[in-house]
Parts: sequence; structure tokens; C-alpha cells
Amino acid sequence: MRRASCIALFVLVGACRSKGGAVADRSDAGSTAPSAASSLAAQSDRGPALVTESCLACHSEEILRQQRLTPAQWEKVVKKMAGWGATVAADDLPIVSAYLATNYGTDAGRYEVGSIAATAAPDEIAPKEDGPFAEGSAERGGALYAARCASCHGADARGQIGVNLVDRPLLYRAASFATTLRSGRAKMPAQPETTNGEVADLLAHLRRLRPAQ
Amino acid sequence: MVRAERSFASRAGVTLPAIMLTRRAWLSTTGATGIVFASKTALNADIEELARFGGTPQNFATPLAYFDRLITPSSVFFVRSHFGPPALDHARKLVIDGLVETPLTLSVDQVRRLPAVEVTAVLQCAGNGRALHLPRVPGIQWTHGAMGQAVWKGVRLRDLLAKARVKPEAAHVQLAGADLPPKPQTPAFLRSIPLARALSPETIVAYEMNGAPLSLAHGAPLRLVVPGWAGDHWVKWLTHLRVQREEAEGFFMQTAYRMPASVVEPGAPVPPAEMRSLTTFPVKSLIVTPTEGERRPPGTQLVKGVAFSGEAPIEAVEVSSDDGKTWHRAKLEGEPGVGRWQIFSISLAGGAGGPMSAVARALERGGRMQPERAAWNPSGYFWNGWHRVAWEVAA
Repeated sequence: MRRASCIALFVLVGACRSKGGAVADRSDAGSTAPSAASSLAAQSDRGPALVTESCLACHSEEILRQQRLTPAQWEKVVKKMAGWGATVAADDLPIVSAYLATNYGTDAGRYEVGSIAATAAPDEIAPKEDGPFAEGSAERGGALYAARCASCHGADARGQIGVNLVDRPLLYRAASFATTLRSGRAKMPAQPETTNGEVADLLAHLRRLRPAQ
Repeated sequence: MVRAERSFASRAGVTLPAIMLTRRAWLSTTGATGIVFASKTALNADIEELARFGGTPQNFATPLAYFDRLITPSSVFFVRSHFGPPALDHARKLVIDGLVETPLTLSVDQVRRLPAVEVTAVLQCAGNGRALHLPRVPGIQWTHGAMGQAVWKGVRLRDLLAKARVKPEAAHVQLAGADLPPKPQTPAFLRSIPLARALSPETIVAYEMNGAPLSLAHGAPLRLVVPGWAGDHWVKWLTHLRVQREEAEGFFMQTAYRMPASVVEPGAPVPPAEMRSLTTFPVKSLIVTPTEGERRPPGTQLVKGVAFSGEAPIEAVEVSSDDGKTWHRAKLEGEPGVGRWQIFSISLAGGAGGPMSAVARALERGGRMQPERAAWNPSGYFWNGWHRVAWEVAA
């Protein structure tokens, strides 16, 4: 039997961001003084943008907001994530760590866990009809991918600056895929000019890429 | 000293901690963590909801109120994702290779044609309760909801391994799913279980959960079920069983999912050499009814919850309404088993009104009792301290 249907997941960062601005300021946090060592980094106004571009490529903001960690713990986490492929320049690591420690430190205030309707949870990753994005050409999509996407997502689409695109539920949620592409996400710039046909072609190309087992 | 009147602790020869339960001790396991559920996740809402700990990838917890029954509905069953699911693909194959005489590549249909078994078992994330460990550690800040009990249907892993004919030198089964890391530098999620555990009749490759095909979030088309063992062994989107002499390599086996070999001071650094791979989850109970801060009418007060252990069946659950001075044995419902939960309930005399509280503790067969305080560890695994709930009785 061929693939019956497929599903998507990493889609909702856009939605998360729209709720409270990119990385929201400490609306739910009490007072926290950054450690002396990181005070310079904490004063940088680049923290929110760096967190949005690097952390939110793979995580939704909630995972950051629910932590209550010391500066040393944040530093360790950020270093680990940089080793795992988070796109932060070495010089910017202290800014990211300091921003997170300032906003989500041990004395930050109460974190209130949100909720999701039980029916909405599977729907977030459920495959959808292709609609106007059907019947793309994998050949045209391959060329388009090489020209526009490969420099960040890698020639094999397994991730580089951008995330892995192979075997992802998002490939079977064409409308979400199109929105992500046109609106941008994390470090990916918005490409509002992308046509429905180009989206269809890109999807046809990406769907034929299969992971080695 | 805690008096253990009518307590299983004295019968079982368990040494009770030589301290009274102080308000501070309880705060450390409840309100002081700064994590609360949004009130709308309670059962009285009109729609079923999950508590949302992350949307990308999905990490959703089951609201406490659903733990009042033996089987957790699939619709509100917690979801834990490292990288998020692969695309839904019912044509995904399962490969069995390594130290076997006959390497196999099986379709889901071929797996389904083998003799089917059903197992009722608790799935619990190793990090369930992480937010209750102090000092705090990084990771998803679960409180109680990263667990649930379901009926899992599938084939025994030992039947699959028998078809592949495992070689005598084999000692571990390495496990891989189809979920790909987001970046090439991110380690793949690889786990392994010892061959002895793989051959246990309860270990199954499942394709159904609570009578319906597995959903994508829960591992479709195939996932491993290892009753009594923490969720990290229950590999979802299972595509590869590799029989080897050694356990799996990589971050998720050699660095993550490890616990100190002995008890450590909370917050103390633990050298890697003193860490061991975690396996079974320890004995635990949780009060579901009443809920913290609830107002209830005068009269008999029903206290209800779940109890389970990954190491032995539950022997008994005791509840104290005087912060541990006296304990009363609760009634148990459901079939006892390793890695299987039972519902406990007890009716307490209500009195005229005012504040009331209940503390629960479980004992497993063999004598091990749920500890008053969970053992802190650097990754915040296996929180299982006694659960206390306070409520108000008022007309």
C-alpha cells in the first residue's frame, strides 16, 4: 500500500509568535537581576531576535517560558543546543543565555500552563487536502528547491541553518506549508511572492525524498 | 516521629522518615514550584482539553481529573515528542537485523497477521513530575500529567525475534523510530532494551491503543510497549530493531535518561561514571479527588486516586488526613500488575467544616514504599513523592 496520508507538526510557531510578540517580555515574571558576569550580555537588545531566530526554529516559545533556571543552567542548555545545530554565532551565545536567564530565571514568577482542545491536538499534525497546491512537478520543484531553499535547508533537505524537511507531516499540510513559506519562520525570511504552483512543485519534490532506514 | 498506626509501613518493615510532615515539605511538592494548570483544564469544562507544554513539537499533558479511572481516554492521553512525528505512513516497514540468522523487513500488515495480544499498562514519561524537583532542572516542566494507562494491542516482540532467530551472543535490542532530528548535528533518538526484557511476554510491538489504531502522535503505525519501563523505551514510529551485543550508543542512551546510582544531595553535580541508565519507574500514588483548593460540602469526604509501580504490583495505598500521624488503608479497584495502575478510594469523616487535607502513599509487593520525598536527580526523572491535597469543607 502506498502512503495513505500524512501529517504535520512544526507548524505553529507562527501562531505562537503572533500571541505575544516574537519572544514576549517578562509579562509573567517577577523581578530578576542578571548576574554581574552576564549583565553586559543582558543589556543587549538583540536577545529577543536571537532567541526567535535560533531557539524557535525547533521549539515553541512555551518550552522556554516554563523553565526556571539559573544563569549557569541556561548557559549549559544554550551551549548544548548550539552543539546540536542551533544557529547562534559563538559571540552571541552569552546574549542568548543572559536573555533567557533574565526572563526565565529561578525567581521568575508563576508560569501558567495553557491548554489545547483534545480535538485540536491531532488536527495540528493531521494531513489535509492539497487543494490549490496539488499536482506539482517534482522536477520543477527540485530546481526551485536548489535555487531558493538548499542553501539553508541543505541539498538533501535534512537541515542546516533551516530545519529538516524530509518525511515531515507539514509536507502533507500544503496550506500550512504555503503559509509558513510566505510568512517566514524563525530565521527564514517571508517569501510572499511564492505562487501556488511553486508551492505545489516544492511539495512534489520534498515528498519524494525519503530517509534512509 | 510519624506514628504508623494501622499502617502497612510497620507490617512491611519499612522505615518511616524520622520527621513530621512540615508545611514547608509539602510546599516543595506543590505550590512553590510556580507551575500551575490553567483552571480551564479541569474536567468541568465543556470540552476535553490537554495541558499544553509545547506545540512545536507537541508536548501535551493529561489533566489530573482524568486519572480517576482505570483507562485514560486516547483523546486526552499525554503526548511527548522529542522531534515531532514523521509523516503518517502506514506503509512504513519494520526492519529486524543485527545479530539474527534471518534479517526481516515486515509490513504493518505482516505484523498484524501474527498472533495478537493485549496488554493494559501505564505509559509514563521519565520526566513526569520534573517541575516538582527542587532545585529545578531543565526539560519539560511536567507536573503530574505525563502518564496514562491504556490497553495496547500488538504482537509480542519475542515472537518477532523468534522469526528472525536471534544469535546466542545477542544481549540488547537497539530501537529506532522514523522521527528525524531537526538538524544533522542533533543526535538521533536511539534507545535499547536488554534482550531479557525484549523477550518478556509483556513487551509488545503495538498497533492499537484503547481499541483503535494508534494515532500519529502516539506512534502510528507501530510503537514499542514495555510495561513498567519509562516512556523513553516505548519507541514510537518504530522502524528498526537491531539486535546487538551492546546497548545503543549516542546521547539518548549514554547521556540522557540516566540517574545517579545512589541518592545524591539535591542540586549536587553527579559525575557521569556514577550515572546509570534508567529503566523501571518507581512506586507512586497520586490523589485525583479532591483537587487542591476545592470547596466541598460537609459530610463524608471521598479521596480517590491512582497508584502504580513499574517494579511490582501495588500491595496497598494508605491515606492520612492528619499529615501523617495516622494512616488508613484505601480500597483498591482494578487488576494488580507490574506497570499497571489501580484506582484507590477512601471515605474520610468530614466534620463540621473548615480546612481538610489528605496525603497518599503506596506500597508495592515486596515491601518498597513510595518515599515521602522523591530522590532529586540532575534531569528531574521519576518524581514520586507523597501527594498532598488540601481543600475546604463549607456548607
